[in-house]
Amino acid sequence: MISDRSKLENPYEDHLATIIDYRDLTSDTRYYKLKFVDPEIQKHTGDYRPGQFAMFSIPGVGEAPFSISSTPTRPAFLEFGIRKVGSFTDALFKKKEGDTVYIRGPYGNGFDMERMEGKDIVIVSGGLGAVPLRSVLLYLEDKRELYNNVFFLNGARTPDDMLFKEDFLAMHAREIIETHLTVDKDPTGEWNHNVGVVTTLFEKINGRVDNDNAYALICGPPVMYKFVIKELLEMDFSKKNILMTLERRMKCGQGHCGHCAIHGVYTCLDGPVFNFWDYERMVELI
Amino acid sequence: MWTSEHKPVVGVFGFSGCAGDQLRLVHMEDELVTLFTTAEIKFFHMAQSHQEVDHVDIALVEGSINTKKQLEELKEIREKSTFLVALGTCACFGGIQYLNEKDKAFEERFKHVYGSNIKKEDFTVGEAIPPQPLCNFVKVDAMVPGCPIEKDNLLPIYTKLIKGIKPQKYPAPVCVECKLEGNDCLLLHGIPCIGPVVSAGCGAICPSHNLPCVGCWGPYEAANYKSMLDKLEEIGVDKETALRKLKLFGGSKAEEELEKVIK
Amino acid sequence: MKTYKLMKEDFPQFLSLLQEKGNLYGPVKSKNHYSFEKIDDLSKLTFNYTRTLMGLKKFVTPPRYKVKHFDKSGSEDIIPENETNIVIGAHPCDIHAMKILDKLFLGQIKDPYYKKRRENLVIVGHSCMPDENCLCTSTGTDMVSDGFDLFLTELQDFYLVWVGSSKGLFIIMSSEDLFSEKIDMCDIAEYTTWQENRQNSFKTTIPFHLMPDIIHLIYEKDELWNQFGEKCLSCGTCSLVCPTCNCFNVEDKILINADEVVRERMLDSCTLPYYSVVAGDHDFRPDRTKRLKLYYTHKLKEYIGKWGQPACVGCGRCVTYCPVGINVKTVSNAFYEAIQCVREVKKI
Ligand SMILES: Cc1cc2nc3c(=O)[nH]c(=O)nc-3n(C[C@H](O)[C@H](O)[C@H](O)COP(=O)(O)OP(=O)(O)OC[C@H]3O[C@@H](n4cnc5c(N)ncnc54)[C@H](O)[C@@H]3O)c2cc1C
Ligand code: SF4
Ligand code: SF4
Ligand code: SF4
Ligand code: SF4
Ligand code: FES
Repeated sequence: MISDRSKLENPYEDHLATIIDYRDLTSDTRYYKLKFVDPEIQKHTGDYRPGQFAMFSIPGVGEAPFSISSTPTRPAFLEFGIRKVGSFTDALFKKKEGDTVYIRGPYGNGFDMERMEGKDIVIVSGGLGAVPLRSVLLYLEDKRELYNNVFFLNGARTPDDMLFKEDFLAMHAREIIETHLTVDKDPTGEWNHNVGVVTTLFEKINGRVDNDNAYALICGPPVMYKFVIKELLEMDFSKKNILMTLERRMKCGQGHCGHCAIHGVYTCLDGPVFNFWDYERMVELI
Repeated sequence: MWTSEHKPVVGVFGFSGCAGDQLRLVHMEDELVTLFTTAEIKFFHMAQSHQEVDHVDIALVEGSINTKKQLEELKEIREKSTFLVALGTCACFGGIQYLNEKDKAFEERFKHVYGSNIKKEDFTVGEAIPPQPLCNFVKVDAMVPGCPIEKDNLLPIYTKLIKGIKPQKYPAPVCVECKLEGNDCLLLHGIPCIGPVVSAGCGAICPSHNLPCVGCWGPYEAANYKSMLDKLEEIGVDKETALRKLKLFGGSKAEEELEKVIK
Repeated sequence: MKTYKLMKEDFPQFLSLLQEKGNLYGPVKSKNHYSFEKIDDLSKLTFNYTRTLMGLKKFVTPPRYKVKHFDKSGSEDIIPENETNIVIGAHPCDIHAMKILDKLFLGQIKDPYYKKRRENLVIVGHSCMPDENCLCTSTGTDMVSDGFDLFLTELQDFYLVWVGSSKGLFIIMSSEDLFSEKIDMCDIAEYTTWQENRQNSFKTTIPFHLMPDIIHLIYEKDELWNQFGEKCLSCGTCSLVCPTCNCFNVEDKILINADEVVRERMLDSCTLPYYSVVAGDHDFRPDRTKRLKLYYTHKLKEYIGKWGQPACVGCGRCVTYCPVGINVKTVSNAFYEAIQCVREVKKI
């Protein structure tokens, strides 16, 4: 990964990466672990920020953007969580261990982790939103001493739908980050955490966050944002400290193709992380 | 993608159409050898029983559905195939014969041609139903419209399918190709081109020769029939002629949309 | 800026000189319109024209081009070879449009495919006279002082040749006897008279400077936008002909006769239905009104906010070619008119 794309002679340059591990996270979503083939490139694997994304390419199929789910603090490999929804992801799911894909990136602004140092952090995710935020969580676990209180609230429809469930249960047990997990429904009867939508978890942290010195990081399905933001505003969070990561159609990842434009910004350059002020300014953001 | 040992099986099926699209396949001389080496291709004639098929990876289906028997066969093909591709405007949208359905004058014309001794039923294989595009009955994975289909439309989809890749769609009207071909617009010169409501694919051949598009590639997914009608009227085409133009190759989609517009 | 005088009788020789230097392109009449085409026969060139169908963008972002090639041995970028393509006859708006594309493709992250095509291009501009669809005085793009290599102002018996780059100067230097630096007072007077005459020929002014605020304030008044959304054919014409529209789509093609893949880019338009569709078939702009909003806010509001000028250079192509009369002129005027009545009420 070369985070400063402007230094490259060809910012569209991509590199072969091998799938070194994969497993099903849910019935339609898979975890992938990748390593660059070229050792010179592999050396730069950790050159990215949490919240950034990479463009995958499979010759004959095309390209698609995916959030990086690993942390730069563990730079030996890249991890992703990918849902099978169509042409590209279908082709990707046919790949097995040892197969390769092309990767270019990282792209997007990502989260400014340094700016959040010394602050309280509330991380809220739902569904696929756990993928980019997992990068932040692992990063925070590795650099926990630099931050004040850190809370993680994660929701899924059912226990079987929860991405990275084992990871998050382990995270809950490690207690480095205060982790609260919830499911909308529990048909399994084996779930011994919260049941209810993700906003029901807010009572667990109410009154324990230093609102003036706190950041909230949100990612999830569009409907989730509205309710979560309402809770955060009620907790007196500063609008510029409510950060969310968004999705748009992307063809280039670096401000050339136009597809990801929202008003005057390009999601691929100025996003995918936006704050709540941006949202109020740009009605079509979510 | 298919595993390397697996040579995909392609079945070519024909319902009611002119078989022009199947002919088009056979006429791709340059590619024919590769077509047959990369996949196992089986042609099934209209008369041939489809029972002998057990599974095809890719079904290329030509023609519209005009009888109950065809409908059953179509459903069977759907069940036995991984990807189903509608080949040609008839399969995609119903084609010219779709006009048959709403045309009240059909019986009369029929009598005029065949006399009153022969009945309509005698001509069809089994009970006739109004001609319909495939997608009105089964899930269609990809559409390749055209009358007949163009090799340059089929090949990019075909080469993906035989590798097990789902083609992505990105609908555009004839106007896009018309501009890329470097034409200005016939509508501006009062020539009644219906390119804005017609699927791209032909490379805008007609407007490139100063002829208005008549719509043989079938309806464009985002066609704005209301505005198209208004425009045609503005340049002096009377409503009846305009409607006839839009319905000619428009099949069930044009019919439905135009009904809404007229209301 | 260095300026020379080129006598009209020497113009053919100048054109031959350009032909020696590279592939010459220029405006020719084709069917009902003009277009920049490769010139083999100099007599085909026409400078008495208003606008070509496609501007200069076809030289730098062609309608469809290959960007990558894949085979068993790996991937390779398809970047054009070094060559010199000289286009003569570009008008000030076309050159301004090129400057806008340059900002986008050659900003912080440089597009390698654009970069090479742009480096290969030599632009020889040419003066023009506006028709009723030209809006460049309103966009501030009626004059141009950079972005070209040479610029010709056609006067009675001679051309004033403005030099805009070292490439341009190099062309002059290589045939110095064609050009004279002796520009006398009468020459200057002839030029300024022409200039004044041109300025007076503009028929249309549009209050573009008010559009950022107006669009911001009416953004959610859908009744104003719907009058256009209902008419729009989603035909893509306005973007395809607009010299500053840069959107592209990307598609992979598997070659049938070999195990090879080419990745192609093709011009795209935000008026097309799948422009903003993402996973799960969620569509951020499902109707025509929403898509036109993007087009017009991008052109007339956001770009001004970012760069201090609209992303419209007033070339009048959308005005000329949209089949149903949706263009920067009708849209801006409709919005402007809509706020007039509000003002009258306030005066009382
Ligand atoms: C910044 C960003 C980060 C993302 N991170 C993840 C992630 O971590 N995990 C994950 O599973 N998904 C992620 N996505 C979504 C993912 O990119 C899409 O699911 C994928 O592009 C769909 O491709 P497809 O070919 O499988 O589907 P398609 O066959 O294209 O069909 C599915 C739908 O996806 C739309 N689509 C096509 N191309 C794109 C594109 N380039 N961008 C967005 N939508 C597109 C299509 O229009 C269609 O509606 C992210 C998207 C963005 C923009
Ligand atoms: S000539 Fe026809 S196809 Fe071409 S732009 Fe005009 S309406 Fe569209
Ligand atoms: S009638 Fe229209 S769709 Fe058919 S070939 Fe002509 S331009 Fe193409
Ligand atoms: S040219 Fe006119 S009709 Fe066509 S997409 Fe643009 S605004 Fe709509
Ligand atoms: S918006 Fe219209 S007038 Fe402005 S540059 Fe584009 S085509 Fe020309
Ligand atoms: S993805 Fe191409 S501009 Fe953002």
